[in-house]
Amino acid sequence: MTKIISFESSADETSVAIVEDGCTILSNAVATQINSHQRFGGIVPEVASRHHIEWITRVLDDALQTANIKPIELDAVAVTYGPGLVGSLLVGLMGAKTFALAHNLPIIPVNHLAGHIAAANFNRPIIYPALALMVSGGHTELVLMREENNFSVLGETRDDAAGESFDKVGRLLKLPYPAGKTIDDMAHLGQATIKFPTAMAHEDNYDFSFSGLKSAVINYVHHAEQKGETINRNDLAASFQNAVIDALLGRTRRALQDFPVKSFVLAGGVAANSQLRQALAELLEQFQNTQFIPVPQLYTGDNAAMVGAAGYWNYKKKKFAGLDLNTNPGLDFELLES
Amino acid sequence: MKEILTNNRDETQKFAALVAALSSPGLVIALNGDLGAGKTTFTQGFSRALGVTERVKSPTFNIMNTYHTHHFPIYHFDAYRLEETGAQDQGFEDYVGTDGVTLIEWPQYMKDLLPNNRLELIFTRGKYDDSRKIQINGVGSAVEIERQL
Repeated sequence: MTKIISFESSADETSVAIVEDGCTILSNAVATQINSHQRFGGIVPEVASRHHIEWITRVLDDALQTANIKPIELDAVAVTYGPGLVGSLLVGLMGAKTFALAHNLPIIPVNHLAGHIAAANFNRPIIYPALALMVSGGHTELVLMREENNFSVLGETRDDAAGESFDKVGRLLKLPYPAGKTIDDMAHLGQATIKFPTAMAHEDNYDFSFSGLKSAVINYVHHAEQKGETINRNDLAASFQNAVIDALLGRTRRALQDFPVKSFVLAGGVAANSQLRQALAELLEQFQNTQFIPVPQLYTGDNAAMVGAAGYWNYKKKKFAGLDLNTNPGLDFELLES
Repeated sequence: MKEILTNNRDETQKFAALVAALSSPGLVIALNGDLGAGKTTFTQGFSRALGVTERVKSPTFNIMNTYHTHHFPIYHFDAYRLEETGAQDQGFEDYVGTDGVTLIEWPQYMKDLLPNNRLELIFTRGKYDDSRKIQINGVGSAVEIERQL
């Protein structure tokens, strides 16, 4: 049994987890800035990195206590070193290095995006070759995995990420951040009556574009305001969400047709969207030889357990780093060579 | 203060290429404008004109993306997510206005880091969905760039 303690601090969440053999979560302590804002009844004027510093030792203690594990029982320390905000990444990285040094444990560098995909193992084991749709606030990518821990990007967004478009439309509609859950709820109450463009549907690649959709929604609201018309906000939410899902579905279908895989993983924060999960489950019914493995809803957002899952892949391959490991804010997977 | 009108994305990107031709390392360009006003579109045209082949994507999530031209880096900032937290303690000082050209979207949320010499561009919607008004304001030494545009 391999027990890995893992650290994640690339964006808004500070998290430490202990995961056994990359699939059994013994603990997963997460502190989010969004919660602390809510707890104090408003925005706490703290920068992201300062928030991570305040929380890192507390979530570390919590993770060890909940798992009832002593440091001597651990085998390695996994940590997200990119992509993300440099100031935020550094806190988790320094926490992980310090813990590793103090307890004489090897350090495993983890790509945050690999972590999101590895979280599918908390549902059931990924079978290879596999395809993953990674959709979050910062990324929208179709990733081919020929084998475990091997990633090539088939297509990605050319401008805004899918989750980003949810947040920006949310801002336009004056919804709280992050807006994904609220838009999903509103969409269920509305009808997709407005026809927004699904960008690049006919282009010969696997790329996405959500900037045009954002502009179309802005234009729609703008025109309605000018004419003094009232917008049915639920219908707008449903129409927007439909357009995003259409785009994701179209590209995924094409990739599944061109690359027959044994499993398909849905990962990233936007994977929590109920309509997207439903639509992809239906699409996958047409691909009998491909198993649909969405990341469990609880682990779609940023968390350290997923870093422990991906860290285990590197652990098996003995991909360790020294204490000189640095952050890589722009870290990404390689593009598929054509 | 100068003002130009563009009819579509292509014209906005052609204008960006004109600005790029007048740019040199150390220049900071503040890109003001609401959601969908054309800030990232401008940056795409600007970078392409300087030979950037990498994909120029929205930096909203990472806050900063770096691109490489033949001669100097381009630092593409988006302070959108810093509205509530501010830009301190993130190490951004190491980039803004240093060895590359810095473009900043939502500069109002990074005010403390803006140098006195900078090119301010303000994007607003025009009469039509795709048309834009771009106001040009050279502050300090950047007044020379405004003059040449």
